[in-house]
Amino acid sequence: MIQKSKPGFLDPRTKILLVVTVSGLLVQCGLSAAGLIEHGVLLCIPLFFYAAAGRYRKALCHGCLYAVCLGLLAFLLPKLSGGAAIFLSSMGALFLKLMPGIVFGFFLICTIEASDLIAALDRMHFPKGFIWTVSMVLRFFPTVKEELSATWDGVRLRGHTIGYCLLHPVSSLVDVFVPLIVSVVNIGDELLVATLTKGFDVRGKRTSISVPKLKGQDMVLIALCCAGWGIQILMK
Amino acid sequence: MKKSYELKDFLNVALFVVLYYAAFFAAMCAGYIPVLMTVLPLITGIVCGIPFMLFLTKVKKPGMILLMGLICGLLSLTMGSGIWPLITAVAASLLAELILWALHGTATIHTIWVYVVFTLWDIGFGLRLYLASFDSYRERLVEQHGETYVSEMLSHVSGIGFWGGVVLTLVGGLLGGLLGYVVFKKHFQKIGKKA
Repeated sequence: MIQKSKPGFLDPRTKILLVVTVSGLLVQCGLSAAGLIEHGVLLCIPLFFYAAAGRYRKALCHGCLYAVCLGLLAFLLPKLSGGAAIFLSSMGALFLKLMPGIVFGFFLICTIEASDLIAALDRMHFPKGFIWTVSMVLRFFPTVKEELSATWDGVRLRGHTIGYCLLHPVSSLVDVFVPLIVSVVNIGDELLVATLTKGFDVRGKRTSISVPKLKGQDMVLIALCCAGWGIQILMK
Repeated sequence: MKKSYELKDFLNVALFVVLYYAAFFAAMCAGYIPVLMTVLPLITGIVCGIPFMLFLTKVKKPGMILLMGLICGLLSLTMGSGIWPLITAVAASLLAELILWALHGTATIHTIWVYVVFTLWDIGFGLRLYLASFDSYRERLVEQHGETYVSEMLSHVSGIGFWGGVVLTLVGGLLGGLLGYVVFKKHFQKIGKKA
Protein backbone atom coordinates (compact mmCIF):
# COMPACT_ATOMS: atom_id res chain seq x y z
CA MET A 1 0.00 0.00 0.00
CA ILE A 2 1.39 3.40 -0.97
CA GLN A 3 1.58 5.74 1.98
CA LYS A 4 1.31 9.47 1.69
CA SER A 5 4.54 11.28 2.57
CA LYS A 6 4.57 13.11 5.87
CA PRO A 7 3.66 16.71 5.02
CA GLY A 8 6.01 19.48 6.15
CA PHE A 9 4.89 22.12 8.61
CA LEU A 10 4.74 24.65 5.79
CA ASP A 11 3.85 24.31 2.12
CA PRO A 12 6.81 24.94 -0.28
CA ARG A 13 4.91 27.86 -1.84
CA THR A 14 4.56 29.52 1.56
CA LYS A 15 8.26 29.05 2.22
CA ILE A 16 9.16 30.67 -1.10
CA LEU A 17 6.77 33.57 -0.46
CA LEU A 18 8.26 34.01 3.01
CA VAL A 19 11.81 34.17 1.61
CA VAL A 20 10.73 36.64 -1.09
CA THR A 21 8.99 38.81 1.51
CA VAL A 22 11.83 38.85 4.04
CA SER A 23 14.59 39.48 1.48
CA GLY A 24 12.50 41.88 -0.62
CA LEU A 25 11.32 43.99 2.31
CA LEU A 26 14.72 44.03 4.03
CA VAL A 27 16.33 45.55 0.93
CA GLN A 28 13.81 48.39 1.01
CA CYS A 29 13.99 49.15 4.74
CA GLY A 30 15.20 52.62 5.62
CA LEU A 31 17.59 53.81 8.33
CA SER A 32 15.06 56.01 10.12
CA ALA A 33 13.68 54.94 13.51
CA ALA A 34 10.67 53.29 11.82
CA GLY A 35 12.97 51.61 9.29
CA LEU A 36 15.22 50.20 12.02
CA ILE A 37 12.16 48.80 13.83
CA GLU A 38 11.05 47.28 10.52
CA HIS A 39 14.53 45.76 10.17
CA GLY A 40 14.23 44.31 13.68
CA VAL A 41 10.81 42.76 13.04
CA LEU A 42 11.87 41.22 9.73
CA LEU A 43 15.13 39.89 11.16
CA CYS A 44 13.22 38.16 13.97
CA ILE A 45 11.45 35.93 11.40
CA PRO A 46 14.60 34.00 10.36
CA LEU A 47 15.72 33.79 14.00
CA PHE A 48 12.36 32.29 14.95
CA PHE A 49 12.67 29.65 12.22
CA TYR A 50 16.25 28.76 13.20
CA ALA A 51 15.20 28.34 16.84
CA ALA A 52 12.10 26.34 15.87
CA ALA A 53 14.31 23.96 13.90
CA GLY A 54 16.52 23.47 16.98
CA ARG A 55 19.40 25.52 15.55
CA TYR A 56 19.77 27.59 18.73
CA ARG A 57 23.44 28.41 18.20
CA LYS A 58 22.79 29.70 14.71
CA ALA A 59 19.85 31.75 15.99
CA LEU A 60 21.99 33.21 18.79
CA CYS A 61 24.96 34.04 16.53
CA HIS A 62 22.78 35.66 13.88
CA GLY A 63 20.72 37.46 16.53
CA CYS A 64 23.88 38.96 18.08
CA LEU A 65 25.25 39.96 14.65
CA TYR A 66 21.99 41.67 13.64
CA ALA A 67 21.72 43.43 17.01
CA VAL A 68 25.29 44.76 16.79
CA CYS A 69 24.78 45.94 13.19
CA LEU A 70 21.46 47.61 14.03
CA GLY A 71 23.06 49.29 17.07
CA LEU A 72 25.97 50.59 14.97
CA LEU A 73 23.65 51.92 12.28
CA ALA A 74 21.30 53.53 14.80
CA PHE A 75 23.84 55.17 17.12
CA LEU A 76 27.23 55.34 15.42
CA LEU A 77 26.40 56.08 11.77
CA PRO A 78 24.77 59.52 12.41
CA LYS A 79 27.97 60.64 14.18
CA LEU A 80 30.35 59.52 11.42
CA SER A 81 31.30 61.16 8.16
CA GLY A 82 33.54 60.49 5.16
CA GLY A 83 35.16 57.09 4.61
CA ALA A 84 34.10 55.65 7.98
CA ALA A 85 30.42 56.40 7.26
CA ILE A 86 30.68 54.86 3.78
CA PHE A 87 32.36 51.73 5.20
CA LEU A 88 29.75 51.34 7.93
CA SER A 89 26.88 51.88 5.46
CA SER A 90 28.37 49.26 3.11
CA MET A 91 28.81 46.73 5.91
CA GLY A 92 25.34 47.51 7.28
CA ALA A 93 23.79 46.97 3.87
CA LEU A 94 25.68 43.71 3.43
CA PHE A 95 24.97 42.25 6.88
CA LEU A 96 21.45 43.59 7.43
CA LYS A 97 19.88 43.80 3.98
CA LEU A 98 21.52 41.14 1.87
CA MET A 99 22.95 38.40 4.06
CA PRO A 100 19.91 37.64 6.29
CA GLY A 101 17.65 37.10 3.27
CA ILE A 102 20.17 34.79 1.59
CA VAL A 103 20.94 32.74 4.70
CA PHE A 104 17.23 32.44 5.51
CA GLY A 105 16.40 31.56 1.89
CA PHE A 106 19.12 28.95 1.86
CA PHE A 107 17.92 27.51 5.16
CA LEU A 108 14.27 27.28 4.10
CA ILE A 109 15.02 26.02 0.58
CA CYS A 110 17.15 23.19 2.02
CA THR A 111 14.05 22.04 3.92
CA ILE A 112 11.89 21.84 0.78
CA GLU A 113 11.54 18.33 -0.63
CA ALA A 114 11.85 18.34 -4.43
CA SER A 115 8.78 16.11 -4.75
CA ASP A 116 6.69 18.49 -2.62
CA LEU A 117 7.78 21.48 -4.70
CA ILE A 118 7.07 19.73 -7.99
CA ALA A 119 3.63 18.64 -6.78
CA ALA A 120 2.85 22.16 -5.50
CA LEU A 121 3.95 23.92 -8.71
CA ASP A 122 2.21 21.30 -10.84
CA ARG A 123 -0.99 22.07 -9.01
CA MET A 124 -0.53 25.73 -9.96
CA HIS A 125 -0.38 24.60 -13.64
CA PHE A 126 3.11 25.88 -14.43
CA PRO A 127 4.70 24.35 -17.56
CA LYS A 128 6.57 21.12 -16.83
CA GLY A 129 9.91 22.41 -18.17
CA PHE A 130 9.73 25.42 -15.88
CA ILE A 131 8.82 23.26 -12.85
CA TRP A 132 11.68 20.84 -13.49
CA THR A 133 14.19 23.66 -13.98
CA VAL A 134 13.11 25.58 -10.87
CA SER A 135 13.13 22.45 -8.68
CA MET A 136 16.58 21.49 -9.97
CA VAL A 137 17.90 25.04 -9.46
CA LEU A 138 16.79 24.87 -5.83
CA ARG A 139 18.30 21.39 -5.54
CA PHE A 140 21.63 22.56 -6.97
CA PHE A 141 22.29 25.63 -4.81
CA PRO A 142 23.29 23.56 -1.72
CA THR A 143 25.32 21.21 -3.95
CA VAL A 144 27.26 24.08 -5.51
CA LYS A 145 27.87 25.54 -2.06
CA GLU A 146 29.38 22.23 -0.87
CA GLU A 147 31.45 21.82 -4.01
CA LEU A 148 32.63 25.43 -3.84
CA SER A 149 33.76 24.89 -0.28
CA ALA A 150 35.72 21.76 -1.32
CA THR A 151 37.19 23.58 -4.35
CA TRP A 152 38.19 26.51 -2.18
CA ASP A 153 40.00 24.11 0.18
CA GLY A 154 41.90 22.73 -2.80
CA VAL A 155 42.78 26.21 -4.04
CA ARG A 156 44.08 27.15 -0.59
CA LEU A 157 46.15 23.96 -0.46
CA ARG A 158 47.89 25.20 -3.59
CA GLY A 159 48.91 28.27 -1.61
CA HIS A 160 46.38 30.67 -3.09
CA THR A 161 45.45 33.03 -0.29
CA ILE A 162 42.88 35.82 -0.54
CA GLY A 163 45.75 38.23 -1.21
CA TYR A 164 46.93 36.08 -4.13
CA CYS A 165 43.38 35.93 -5.52
CA LEU A 166 43.09 39.74 -5.39
CA LEU A 167 46.46 40.17 -7.13
CA HIS A 168 45.79 37.48 -9.77
CA PRO A 169 42.00 37.61 -10.27
CA VAL A 170 41.82 35.93 -13.68
CA SER A 171 44.04 32.96 -12.83
CA SER A 172 42.20 32.54 -9.49
CA LEU A 173 38.89 32.64 -11.33
CA VAL A 174 40.05 29.85 -13.62
CA ASP A 175 41.49 27.86 -10.69
CA VAL A 176 38.13 27.98 -8.90
CA PHE A 177 35.79 27.60 -11.87
CA VAL A 178 37.46 24.72 -13.73
CA PRO A 179 37.31 22.11 -10.91
CA LEU A 180 33.96 23.46 -9.72
CA ILE A 181 32.32 23.14 -13.12
CA VAL A 182 33.81 19.68 -13.75
CA SER A 183 32.56 18.38 -10.41
CA VAL A 184 29.11 19.99 -10.73
CA VAL A 185 28.68 18.68 -14.30
CA ASN A 186 29.51 15.18 -13.02
CA ILE A 187 26.96 15.52 -10.21
CA GLY A 188 24.46 16.75 -12.82
CA ASP A 189 25.03 13.61 -14.89
CA GLU A 190 24.40 11.41 -11.83
CA LEU A 191 21.27 13.37 -11.00
CA LEU A 192 20.07 12.99 -14.58
CA VAL A 193 20.38 9.21 -14.35
CA ALA A 194 18.53 9.26 -11.02
CA THR A 195 15.67 11.36 -12.40
CA LEU A 196 15.42 9.23 -15.54
CA THR A 197 15.25 6.14 -13.34
CA LYS A 198 12.37 7.71 -11.47
CA GLY A 199 10.58 8.12 -14.80
CA PHE A 200 10.50 11.89 -14.92
CA ASP A 201 10.69 11.97 -18.70
CA VAL A 202 7.59 9.82 -19.16
CA ARG A 203 4.83 11.77 -20.94
CA GLY A 204 1.41 12.11 -19.38
CA LYS A 205 0.14 13.06 -15.97
CA ARG A 206 2.29 12.01 -13.05
CA THR A 207 0.96 11.02 -9.69
CA SER A 208 2.70 11.98 -6.49
CA ILE A 209 2.62 10.79 -2.91
CA SER A 210 2.93 14.43 -1.84
CA VAL A 211 -0.41 16.13 -1.55
CA PRO A 212 0.11 19.90 -1.66
CA LYS A 213 -2.41 21.64 0.52
CA LEU A 214 -2.38 25.05 2.16
CA LYS A 215 -3.01 24.61 5.87
CA GLY A 216 -4.03 27.13 8.54
CA GLN A 217 -0.44 28.17 9.32
CA ASP A 218 0.21 28.67 5.59
CA MET A 219 -2.83 30.92 5.30
CA VAL A 220 -1.73 33.02 8.30
CA LEU A 221 1.80 33.46 6.92
CA ILE A 222 0.53 34.26 3.41
CA ALA A 223 -1.79 36.89 4.89
CA LEU A 224 1.11 38.38 6.90
CA CYS A 225 3.34 38.47 3.80
CA CYS A 226 0.60 40.17 1.78
CA ALA A 227 0.09 42.66 4.62
CA GLY A 228 3.84 43.38 4.69
CA TRP A 229 3.94 44.06 0.96
CA GLY A 230 0.72 46.10 1.16
CA ILE A 231 2.15 48.34 3.90
CA GLN A 232 5.39 48.74 1.93
CA ILE A 233 3.51 49.80 -1.22
CA LEU A 234 1.23 52.19 0.70
CA MET A 235 4.20 53.80 2.48
CA LYS A 236 5.79 54.60 -0.91
CA MET B 1 19.00 22.21 -33.63
CA LYS B 2 16.70 19.42 -32.41
CA LYS B 3 13.21 20.52 -31.45
CA SER B 4 11.84 18.22 -28.72
CA TYR B 5 12.97 19.01 -25.20
CA GLU B 6 14.36 16.37 -22.91
CA LEU B 7 14.90 16.31 -19.19
CA LYS B 8 18.63 16.66 -19.82
CA ASP B 9 18.13 20.10 -21.39
CA PHE B 10 16.31 21.41 -18.34
CA LEU B 11 18.92 19.89 -16.06
CA ASN B 12 21.67 21.65 -18.00
CA VAL B 13 19.81 24.95 -17.74
CA ALA B 14 19.35 24.47 -13.97
CA LEU B 15 22.97 23.52 -13.43
CA PHE B 16 24.37 26.48 -15.32
CA VAL B 17 21.82 28.91 -13.88
CA VAL B 18 23.15 28.04 -10.43
CA LEU B 19 26.81 28.38 -11.48
CA TYR B 20 26.14 31.58 -13.42
CA TYR B 21 24.01 33.17 -10.73
CA ALA B 22 26.40 32.26 -7.90
CA ALA B 23 29.25 33.94 -9.83
CA PHE B 24 27.02 36.88 -10.77
CA PHE B 25 25.85 37.40 -7.22
CA ALA B 26 29.39 37.23 -5.79
CA ALA B 27 30.49 39.83 -8.34
CA MET B 28 27.46 42.05 -7.64
CA CYS B 29 28.35 42.13 -3.93
CA ALA B 30 31.35 44.27 -4.95
CA GLY B 31 28.78 46.97 -5.74
CA TYR B 32 28.39 47.68 -2.05
CA ILE B 33 31.80 49.37 -2.25
CA PRO B 34 30.96 52.70 -3.94
CA VAL B 35 34.30 52.97 -5.82
CA LEU B 36 33.65 49.63 -7.54
CA MET B 37 30.13 50.68 -8.56
CA THR B 38 31.50 52.24 -11.77
CA VAL B 39 33.22 49.06 -12.95
CA LEU B 40 30.55 46.66 -11.70
CA PRO B 41 29.24 45.76 -15.20
CA LEU B 42 32.80 45.02 -16.24
CA ILE B 43 33.44 42.77 -13.21
CA THR B 44 30.19 40.80 -13.58
CA GLY B 45 30.77 40.39 -17.33
CA ILE B 46 34.24 38.94 -16.83
CA VAL B 47 33.39 36.73 -13.84
CA CYS B 48 30.32 35.12 -15.45
CA GLY B 49 31.97 34.47 -18.81
CA ILE B 50 33.30 31.01 -17.98
CA PRO B 51 30.01 29.35 -16.88
CA PHE B 52 28.00 30.98 -19.66
CA MET B 53 30.38 30.03 -22.48
CA LEU B 54 30.36 26.43 -21.25
CA PHE B 55 26.57 26.57 -21.05
CA LEU B 56 26.46 27.58 -24.72
CA THR B 57 28.20 24.34 -25.66
CA LYS B 58 25.31 22.47 -24.03
CA VAL B 59 22.56 24.48 -25.74
CA LYS B 60 21.07 22.15 -28.31
CA LYS B 61 17.56 23.54 -28.58
CA PRO B 62 15.98 26.98 -28.92
CA GLY B 63 14.60 28.53 -25.76
CA MET B 64 17.25 27.35 -23.32
CA ILE B 65 18.94 30.77 -23.05
CA LEU B 66 15.52 32.37 -22.65
CA LEU B 67 14.73 29.98 -19.80
CA MET B 68 18.08 30.80 -18.21
CA GLY B 69 17.43 34.53 -18.51
CA LEU B 70 13.92 34.14 -17.12
CA ILE B 71 15.12 32.25 -14.06
CA CYS B 72 18.01 34.68 -13.46
CA GLY B 73 15.49 37.54 -13.62
CA LEU B 74 13.13 35.74 -11.24
CA LEU B 75 15.97 35.07 -8.79
CA SER B 76 16.86 38.77 -8.85
CA LEU B 77 13.22 39.64 -8.30
CA THR B 78 13.05 37.39 -5.23
CA MET B 79 16.15 39.08 -3.83
CA GLY B 80 14.49 42.48 -3.97
CA SER B 81 16.06 43.92 -7.13
CA GLY B 82 12.70 44.90 -8.60
CA ILE B 83 11.01 44.10 -11.90
CA TRP B 84 13.50 45.75 -14.29
CA PRO B 85 16.19 43.03 -14.13
CA LEU B 86 13.49 40.48 -15.04
CA ILE B 87 12.36 42.55 -18.05
CA THR B 88 15.90 43.19 -19.30
CA ALA B 89 16.85 39.52 -18.69
CA VAL B 90 13.97 38.31 -20.88
CA ALA B 91 14.72 40.90 -23.59
CA ALA B 92 18.48 40.25 -23.60
CA SER B 93 18.09 36.48 -23.62
CA LEU B 94 15.62 36.69 -26.52
CA LEU B 95 18.17 38.71 -28.49
CA ALA B 96 20.90 36.23 -27.52
CA GLU B 97 18.65 33.38 -28.74
CA LEU B 98 18.26 35.14 -32.10
CA ILE B 99 22.02 35.56 -32.47
CA LEU B 100 22.64 31.92 -31.56
CA TRP B 101 19.97 30.89 -34.08
CA ALA B 102 21.70 33.03 -36.73
CA LEU B 103 24.99 31.30 -35.86
CA HIS B 104 23.25 27.88 -36.22
CA GLY B 105 24.15 27.03 -32.61
CA THR B 106 27.75 26.18 -33.39
CA ALA B 107 30.36 26.49 -30.66
CA THR B 108 32.72 28.85 -32.48
CA ILE B 109 34.41 32.02 -31.34
CA HIS B 110 31.42 33.95 -32.74
CA THR B 111 29.27 32.65 -29.86
CA ILE B 112 31.05 35.26 -27.75
CA TRP B 113 28.54 37.73 -29.22
CA VAL B 114 25.71 35.70 -27.72
CA TYR B 115 27.25 36.24 -24.30
CA VAL B 116 27.94 39.92 -25.02
CA VAL B 117 24.25 40.46 -25.78
CA PHE B 118 23.12 38.33 -22.82
CA THR B 119 25.18 40.45 -20.39
CA LEU B 120 23.01 43.42 -21.35
CA TRP B 121 20.49 42.20 -18.77
CA ASP B 122 22.82 43.72 -16.13
CA ILE B 123 21.61 47.18 -17.08
CA GLY B 124 18.24 46.34 -15.53
CA PHE B 125 19.83 46.79 -12.09
CA GLY B 126 20.84 50.40 -12.78
CA LEU B 127 17.88 51.26 -14.98
CA ARG B 128 15.78 52.58 -12.06
CA LEU B 129 18.29 55.36 -11.72
CA TYR B 130 17.50 56.65 -15.19
CA LEU B 131 13.82 55.75 -15.55
CA ALA B 132 12.33 56.85 -12.24
CA SER B 133 12.28 60.45 -11.22
CA PHE B 134 15.88 60.87 -10.10
CA ASP B 135 15.10 62.93 -7.01
CA SER B 136 12.50 60.54 -5.62
CA TYR B 137 14.80 57.56 -6.26
CA ARG B 138 17.70 59.39 -4.60
CA GLU B 139 15.51 60.15 -1.60
CA ARG B 140 14.68 56.48 -1.22
CA LEU B 141 18.35 55.51 -1.49
CA VAL B 142 19.30 58.09 1.15
CA GLU B 143 16.61 56.67 3.43
CA GLN B 144 18.01 53.15 2.94
CA HIS B 145 21.76 53.80 3.08
CA GLY B 146 22.43 57.28 4.45
CA GLU B 147 23.44 60.55 2.75
CA THR B 148 27.24 60.08 2.71
CA TYR B 149 27.10 56.63 1.14
CA VAL B 150 24.56 57.63 -1.52
CA SER B 151 26.42 60.84 -2.48
CA GLU B 152 29.65 58.89 -2.88
CA MET B 153 27.96 56.10 -4.85
CA LEU B 154 26.03 58.44 -7.17
CA SER B 155 29.12 60.53 -7.84
CA HIS B 156 30.75 57.38 -9.27
CA VAL B 157 27.67 56.17 -11.15
CA SER B 158 26.71 59.53 -12.66
CA GLY B 159 30.31 59.96 -13.81
CA ILE B 160 29.85 57.33 -16.51
CA GLY B 161 26.11 57.79 -17.18
CA PHE B 162 23.68 55.31 -18.73
CA TRP B 163 25.45 54.84 -22.08
CA GLY B 164 28.81 54.56 -20.36
CA GLY B 165 27.31 51.74 -18.28
CA VAL B 166 26.03 50.03 -21.43
CA VAL B 167 29.47 50.28 -23.07
CA LEU B 168 31.15 48.91 -19.92
CA THR B 169 28.65 46.02 -19.86
CA LEU B 170 29.43 45.20 -23.48
CA VAL B 171 33.20 45.40 -22.88
CA GLY B 172 32.81 43.18 -19.79
CA GLY B 173 30.76 40.72 -21.85
CA LEU B 174 33.40 40.68 -24.58
CA LEU B 175 36.26 40.11 -22.13
CA GLY B 176 34.28 37.50 -20.17
CA GLY B 177 33.26 35.76 -23.39
CA LEU B 178 36.88 35.64 -24.58
CA LEU B 179 38.01 34.31 -21.20
CA GLY B 180 35.25 31.71 -21.24
CA TYR B 181 36.12 30.68 -24.79
CA VAL B 182 39.84 30.33 -23.98
CA VAL B 183 39.09 28.34 -20.81
CA PHE B 184 36.63 26.17 -22.74
CA LYS B 185 39.21 25.43 -25.44
CA LYS B 186 41.89 24.65 -22.86
CA HIS B 187 39.96 22.67 -20.25
CA PHE B 188 36.38 21.88 -21.21
CA GLN B 189 36.29 20.85 -24.83
CA LYS B 190 35.95 17.17 -23.87
CA ILE B 191 33.02 17.88 -21.55
CA GLY B 192 31.36 20.08 -24.17
CA LYS B 193 31.64 17.41 -26.81
CA LYS B 194 30.45 14.71 -24.47
CA ALA B 195 27.17 16.55 -23.82
